[in-house]
Amino acid sequence: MSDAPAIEARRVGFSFPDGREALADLSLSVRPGESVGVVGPNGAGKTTFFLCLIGIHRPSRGGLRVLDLDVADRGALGEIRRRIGLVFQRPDDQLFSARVYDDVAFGPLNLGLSQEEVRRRTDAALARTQCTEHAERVSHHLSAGEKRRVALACVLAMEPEVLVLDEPTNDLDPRSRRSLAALVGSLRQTRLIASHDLEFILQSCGRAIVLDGGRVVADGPVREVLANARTMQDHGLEVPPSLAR
Amino acid sequence: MWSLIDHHLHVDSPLHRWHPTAKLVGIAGLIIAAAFVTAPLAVAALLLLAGGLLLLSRLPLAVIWRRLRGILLFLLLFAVLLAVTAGEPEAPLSLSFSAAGLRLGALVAGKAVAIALLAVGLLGTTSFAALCRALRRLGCPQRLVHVLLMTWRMNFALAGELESMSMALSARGFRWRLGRRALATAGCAVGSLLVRSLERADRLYDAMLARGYDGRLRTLGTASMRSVDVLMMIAALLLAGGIALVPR
Repeated sequence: MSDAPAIEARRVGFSFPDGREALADLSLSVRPGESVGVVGPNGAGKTTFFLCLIGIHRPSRGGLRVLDLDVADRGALGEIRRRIGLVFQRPDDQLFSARVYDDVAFGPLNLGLSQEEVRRRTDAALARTQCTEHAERVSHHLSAGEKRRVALACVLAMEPEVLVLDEPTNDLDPRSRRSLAALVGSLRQTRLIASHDLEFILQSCGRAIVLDGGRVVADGPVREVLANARTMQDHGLEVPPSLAR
Repeated sequence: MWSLIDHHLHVDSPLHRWHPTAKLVGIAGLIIAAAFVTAPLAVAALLLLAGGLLLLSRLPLAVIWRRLRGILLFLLLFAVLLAVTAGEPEAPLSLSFSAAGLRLGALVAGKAVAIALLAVGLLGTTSFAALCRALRRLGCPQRLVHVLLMTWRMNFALAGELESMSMALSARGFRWRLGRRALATAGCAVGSLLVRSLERADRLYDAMLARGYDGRLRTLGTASMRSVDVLMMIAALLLAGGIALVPR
């Protein structure tokens, strides 16, 4: 594994076309293999930062490198998107093919792999997320939990080095949430997880970063950051019940 | 009829097993023949053939009936209209059934029913994705196939949004009835749905880009055609040709 950070952001800024500033001097660094929780109130800039990581949003200032590749370099975007997998906040936005198998195979096919390799990766990702039985189903007939798992399979099939999950536990019942937590915990990739479900962050990450107003306002070991009542309250969050006792 | 698509793929039948490309060519041949034939005997043969194919497909007949009854009612009205308007009226502005009109009405209705049954046989036994792949294999432009696939998927997403919006409106006392206020509310709801669709299309495109999409649609190869698929296709095309040649 290289010593270079998996993700390095230096004073990254981003504003929407209407002038709203979403990221302001955001700086952080994530080491390879780390599992980092990104928490913050609504509008803190979590999703915007994730979209910057894969070059869908282009930072208006600062430097952003992913796996030693510069996101500002248009020529590197294909390589970045091959090596970093983003599971979107709403699985419905990620599932667009007529059946689950085609959705999961979509990414590997775009990598230009052979048909055999595409099938191997698709089958493996479906098995890993316990979705093999849904392979022939139509995406829009799946339950919320099944859609989440299929969305994760879509990204795992690309075998990314960095996995970015945006609100992965939204709409999940406790059983689906437990099964997702176990799955995420079993992954070996560098992970960046944004969630309002702080228990999930506590369970799945070793480090937590608090974002607010497009800036990093706290960064450290997950238990230390999430147990800091002052920081949490100041930034629209609450200490998770398991740490508040 | 569209609601038949993708709902009965678990059924195992010769029609389900027929290779989608061969099935599309074979059934499209029969549909084209049905559109052009003018002989009552040929229409009767096509109706029998379409009915036979439906039985072979093992699709639930009650479901087919529910899906087709609206079309059949419309065809019945159309046939009656033809029966009373075709031919020479006995007196100016009078309406009466004529033998020529009845024949024409029955012929047109028979052709339409045969086409509808054949279409049910095709759409009810083939997944939409397989149909699109078949179209691509037959030379349909890639972009068009892609648009078809996305439109199909987005129909359900938008229908879901419309349903949620409709429930939210009903929960606040809104009733869908004619009236200025109701129309204004419905207009706002439709406008909002369009804006949401646009936003959703953007998010969907982002998700595609994130997984390496570069404007080209790549698909998995399908199972190769067996000789029985080709034979069934040739048989369907020969039947279509034979029926089209039946003298009037």
